[in-house]
Amino acid sequence: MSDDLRSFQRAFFKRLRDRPLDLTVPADALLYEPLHEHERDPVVRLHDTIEFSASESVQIVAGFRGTGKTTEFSRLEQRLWASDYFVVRVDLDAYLDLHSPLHITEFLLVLAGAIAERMGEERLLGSTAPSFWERAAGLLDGVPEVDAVSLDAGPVGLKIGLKVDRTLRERVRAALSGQLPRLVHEVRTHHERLLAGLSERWGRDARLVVIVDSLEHIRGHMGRSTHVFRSMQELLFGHSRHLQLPGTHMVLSVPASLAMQADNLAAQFVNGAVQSWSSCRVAHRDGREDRETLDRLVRLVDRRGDWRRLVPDRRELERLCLASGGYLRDLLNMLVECIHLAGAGVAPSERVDRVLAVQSRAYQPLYADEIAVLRKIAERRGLDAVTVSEQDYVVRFLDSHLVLCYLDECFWYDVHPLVRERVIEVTA
Amino acid sequence: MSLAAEEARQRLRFHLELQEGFWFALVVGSDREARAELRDDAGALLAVEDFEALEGEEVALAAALTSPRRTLAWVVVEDRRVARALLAAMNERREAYRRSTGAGVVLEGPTWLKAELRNAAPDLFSIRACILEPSPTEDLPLERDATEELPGPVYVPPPRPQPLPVAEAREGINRELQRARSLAERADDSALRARIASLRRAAQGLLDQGWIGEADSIVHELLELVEERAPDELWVLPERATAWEMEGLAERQLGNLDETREAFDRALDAVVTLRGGRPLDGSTASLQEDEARLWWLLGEVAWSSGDLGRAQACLGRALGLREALLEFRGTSGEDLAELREGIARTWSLLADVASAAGRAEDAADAWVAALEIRSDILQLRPNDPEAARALSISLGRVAGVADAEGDAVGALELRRRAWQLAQDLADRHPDHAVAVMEATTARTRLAQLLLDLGRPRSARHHLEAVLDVRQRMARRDPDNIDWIYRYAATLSAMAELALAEDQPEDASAWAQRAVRRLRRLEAEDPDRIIWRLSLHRALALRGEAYFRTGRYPQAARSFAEAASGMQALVATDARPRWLHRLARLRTREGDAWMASDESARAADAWTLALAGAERVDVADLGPYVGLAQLGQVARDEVSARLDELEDEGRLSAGEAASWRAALAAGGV
Repeated sequence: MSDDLRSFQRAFFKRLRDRPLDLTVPADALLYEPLHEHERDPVVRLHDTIEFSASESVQIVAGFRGTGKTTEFSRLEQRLWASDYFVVRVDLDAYLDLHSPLHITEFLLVLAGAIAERMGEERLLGSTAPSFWERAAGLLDGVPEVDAVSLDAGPVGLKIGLKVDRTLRERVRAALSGQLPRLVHEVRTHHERLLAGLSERWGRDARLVVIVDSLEHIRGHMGRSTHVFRSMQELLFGHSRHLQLPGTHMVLSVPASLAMQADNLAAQFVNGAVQSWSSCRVAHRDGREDRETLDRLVRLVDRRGDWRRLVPDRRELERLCLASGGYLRDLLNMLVECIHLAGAGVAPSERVDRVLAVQSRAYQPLYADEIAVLRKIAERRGLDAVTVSEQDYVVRFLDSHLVLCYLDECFWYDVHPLVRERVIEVTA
Repeated sequence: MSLAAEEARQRLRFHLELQEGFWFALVVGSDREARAELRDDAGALLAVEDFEALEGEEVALAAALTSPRRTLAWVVVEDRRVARALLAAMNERREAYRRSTGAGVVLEGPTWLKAELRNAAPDLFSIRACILEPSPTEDLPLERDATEELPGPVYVPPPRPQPLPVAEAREGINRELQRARSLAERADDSALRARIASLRRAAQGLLDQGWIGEADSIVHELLELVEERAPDELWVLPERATAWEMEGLAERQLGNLDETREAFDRALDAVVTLRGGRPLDGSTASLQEDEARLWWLLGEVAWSSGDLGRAQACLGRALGLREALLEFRGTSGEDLAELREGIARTWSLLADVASAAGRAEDAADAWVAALEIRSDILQLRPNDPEAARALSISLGRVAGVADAEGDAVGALELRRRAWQLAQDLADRHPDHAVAVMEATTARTRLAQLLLDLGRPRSARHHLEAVLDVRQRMARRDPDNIDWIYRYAATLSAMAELALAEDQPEDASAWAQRAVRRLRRLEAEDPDRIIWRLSLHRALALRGEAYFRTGRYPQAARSFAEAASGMQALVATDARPRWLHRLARLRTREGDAWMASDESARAADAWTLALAGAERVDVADLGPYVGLAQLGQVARDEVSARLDELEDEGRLSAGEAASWRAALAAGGV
């Protein structure tokens, strides 16, 4: 293999690496291609809702994995800073055990604690930011159930304990049982202090946006999934009024499956809206190709490397885009496979077929019962024929991208193109 | 190297060379060797300090993979349980992995690992770098995990009335619960009764659908309501009995035997109080039915918890009550099949209790009683598959009794009928895996009996049919270990048949195929005793086939492997049958070593055989004679032992004469 080809492979491979882009970094900005048309661009919609709401709003983002959501949050953040908002971005992965049912008490404790921590950034409150953990420890101080818990590390112990120690979480819940109004009051009071601090420090209105990321990572395994899912529903539907922070716009990413209840969810909040980073709609619901999206995806690939050295022509590249169903991670993986085949001496004209075969095998084998549900979705390109008892399947399919969610005027669903034909063929 | 293997190797090399930081790949396929070659290839490509292959308990694996690491971890998982635990643990660490600068992880396993990854670890699946398949596999649709769907002999009857579709059932339950809630604020008696009825229906619906946890909580709510009413309110008693019975059923599903027993006791109390000692007549018949059912349930709980005395007593009560009912209703012209089946079921459970208590005769009587009743039921309901299946099981059990008593002809007839019934069911429900499996089991037992009776041609006819079905099922679902085991067992049976037909070459080929599959199963789950026993049997058959084709050293090694496996089993549980089998294997091992001119090894094996045989007092003189031939046991001693066995009647005169001749000739 020539050195030239090898270095081309290396460079292209590196640029296809699966990671969120940070648009504040110039090298990453060069790789970014906006994928959603303006009126359907979720970042624009989020930004607009924030601008058009008076002082506070709650927007829910149904976060489908691998659709570039984290990258887009970084774009949103950039736009908001540019529009004179203060922005706090909280990654809940660092604070919560996202594999157990989530309770409102620990969610509020962690949310307030994390926001206060992020306020320590110089462009916000810097070192003057008051910690919430101390306040929280004080809130629990003297409560017998928690006295028994070892909190040797003080507030830090509480923060770490909430993430890793289930017993502590249970005791905190027990201790704060019936105390939710008090907890909400404490959280809000502390938050108002932060807002006042921002106004004082920067001499202008503290227009704050809090982006809460990673809540969509919550899921339970084995027998716990329903329990965890229900806890999310309870948090968002049962405690919506407790989640709203005063004078603040909030953006929360939630599990993709909650998009199925989008209309109900939006109604739970003042100035509420549900946005979604769905997969890119490479084809319309009637099966016609979406030329605009295909153009965008080709441009996206163009930014990553010279694809002409991998596939013979644009039509072949578009075949890959169509086969990805607009799911970016699959598209990038298929390009990686193309790079490999280019180095392995496979003729360009054969590469796409080979790549599609490899990629579709990743989704096989399917269980017979899964195929039955997938067929229902494939036939209607939607969930209309799925029964209540099959909802768990849909949640799993969305997680694993066997089913992809798209957005026109409303949400619609289809089976991943790499398995769609097979699902219909097997059941036929 | 196959094309698939070569492609996988190239892709692996590509990723090993270009990936940086954490990356995740999967290596799957049914060909273990092809996977191992790929693994070796990775090991050879990477420096020793950059590569680590891991196998072992899931806890250790999970710990290894969820802590920071600098080497590529290549993990081999063959067991679904281990795979699920590991995938779940890794999935939880997905974000940490992505942010880490650590090295990659490659998981290797059978084809099902792909589906497990997608289902148990969707986040990990989502960030996979590649999936490598070094052997060609056909991605046929999978049936649900065999261990979940096919739990041993438990039968899922195909023709039972279908429960309500889940959504519809849920709707009905919700309606009842809503009604109960809306009545909760009213204090009058009629509202209370309506509320209780709604809760009862909701609980029953939940139990029917198998939503046990929720059912249990509704039943508790129901119990609170019925228990707070005065016991002299007669309308409360039936509700109380029903509620406690439902509580017992829920607790039984949850595995709480003490709570189950207590609940059924309370239900029985309520029924007895309601009946108030009234004799059996038209007004009390249904109460007697309830009483009998509760005694049966209590008997079953006692049996499950090993309390054989109580089980016997409870089942005896159930039987008495049901037989009285049958007598009472016998003239009514009703279809009493269900009542009769209840009696047959009681006899069956009584047979199991007697058998467990070592009362073989009582067990046999009880089985025969069940059999007779079930024969009658099938005449009443010739198209009822449940009746056919119940009778097939009874026939099989009674055939076992007949066989044990030496009634070969009777046993054969019973086995034939058992198979015909099971086969008929399987033919009517060809997609029902358990029905098909039961038919092949019944047919195998029939073939085995024919073989024991010296009728190999008839046995062949049946065994080939079984082989065909099991091979097809095993191929259709290569990850269903139950079918693989049954297929391997049939391969062993074919080997035995070939030996009986004096075709040792064929026998060695069949046995070799069985050994290969059973080794795979043993590796999947070394604790599964039935698989280990089957493997030892296949090894012994292969040894026998080698011996007969003059391949003595191979025969000796095959016997030795089987014997050492049996030895390990005996070390944990010295069952007489196993000891006997072990002694026999050692004897044959000695014979084979002797035929290979390895007299020292032969002597060792025979000495072990004797030691084992003495523990179970087996009259096998082979090792004695062999050792005498080697001069390690005095011939006089062997002669004395021969006389002793002949005197005790444990050796016939002919057998004794044959042994004496062998001793005199100096050979075995």
